[in-house]
Amino acid sequence: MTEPRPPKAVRRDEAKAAAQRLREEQQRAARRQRTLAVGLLVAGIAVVGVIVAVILNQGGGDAAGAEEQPSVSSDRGAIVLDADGIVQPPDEQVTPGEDGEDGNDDDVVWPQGAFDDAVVVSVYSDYMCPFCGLFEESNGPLLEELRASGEIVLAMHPVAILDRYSAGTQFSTRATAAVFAVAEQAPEALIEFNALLFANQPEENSTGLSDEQIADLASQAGVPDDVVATLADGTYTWWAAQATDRASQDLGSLSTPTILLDGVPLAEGVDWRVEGALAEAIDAARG
Amino acid sequence: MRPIPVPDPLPPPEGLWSRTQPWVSTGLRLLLGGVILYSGAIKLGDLPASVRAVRAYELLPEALAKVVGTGLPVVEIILGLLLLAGLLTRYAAAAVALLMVVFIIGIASAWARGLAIDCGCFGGGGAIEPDQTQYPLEITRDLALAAAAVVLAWRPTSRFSLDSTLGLAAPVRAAA
Repeated sequence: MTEPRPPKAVRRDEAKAAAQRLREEQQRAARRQRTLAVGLLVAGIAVVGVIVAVILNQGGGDAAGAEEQPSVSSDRGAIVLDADGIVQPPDEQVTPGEDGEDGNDDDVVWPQGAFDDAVVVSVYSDYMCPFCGLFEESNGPLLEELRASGEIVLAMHPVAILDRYSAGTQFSTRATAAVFAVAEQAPEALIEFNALLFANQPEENSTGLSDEQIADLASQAGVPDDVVATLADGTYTWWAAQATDRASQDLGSLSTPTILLDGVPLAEGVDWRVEGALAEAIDAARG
Repeated sequence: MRPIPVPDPLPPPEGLWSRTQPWVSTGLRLLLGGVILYSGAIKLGDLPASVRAVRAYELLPEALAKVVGTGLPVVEIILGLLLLAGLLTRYAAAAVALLMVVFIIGIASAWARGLAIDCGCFGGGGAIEPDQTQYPLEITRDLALAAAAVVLAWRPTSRFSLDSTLGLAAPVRAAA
């Protein structure tokens, strides 16, 4: 073995050795990464689990019953008005799907089925939603007329789904909470307050109406001063969130405005923007 | 023949790809990390909306919709931070790819069932007017992100990553 091996072979061996070292280094790195990945995966799942559990528990604030649901609101967040004004919901109300199955006919939720000779018109609206403003403007007077004559029962579902359009001021939630508060404490002013909120609807992506502006509108609607003074307290902020969540559960995908006649969405092709279309649909629903 | 079971993260040092790959992977990593962190942060800012967005797909039972709507933003934020930091890049990228596939399936199924919803990919979500749906755009975007994530999972070695700082990845270049 006096002769050195050919340089080519040496080079090849060196290259092999280098490749071997590289492979080992890569495999070590891969092992380290795998170990860390498994560790972090376990930690990550635990963290996510804890965060989700905490948030979900917060969201279920009604469980403790620490705060009282407004008595004028149904469990599903409806304020129901017949010809005489707000109808107090019954103490016992069915929860949709509480038998574990959705969509059963027996899951008729108040106020459905409670008013034999009137069509229950449910209106889900967000005070920031332009089309809700348009609906109020174009169909509000009609609904008022039909309600006063007893032909319909109006189920108002104020919901707050457009908070992201009020530059962080949560206008939708504040307005919804104020409406529940007015309904509870100054029921006779509710219709006017609702109309004024839509008539003074802020632009999307503005800061919305301030608490003072909302209070002014309430005063204009005839809400007594002592009630007006409490509107900014956010007594029913939590209920606005609850009503929104339950509306979303009930409708599947909640958009505003959504109009139901006796619990059934307006048929495809019924465009309430067309004059007379809603009146016709209500007539048809009366059957 | 080299008996290495996994693709070699170090192609021969000569060649354009070997020089640009770490930079390409860096770009993909920052892009994906930024997008998913952003989408997670937006959703976390309005969790009830996130739950509603999940509900609108009408795929999950109520209890699960709440968990997913709440947990998804947290998962997205964790994955986004991992990618931006370049920590566990391969696994984070693979998770993002998987997530995108799930999103694509969800959107495609909503489309196929004739639902008119916003995907809620970056907050929002829920029902919209039928002529406002953007399913092709949403699916294309998620496909592109999935493709980027697959490339990154395949070649996770990148510059300015904690993986290389912590010795979790093989060095970018063999030669010093």
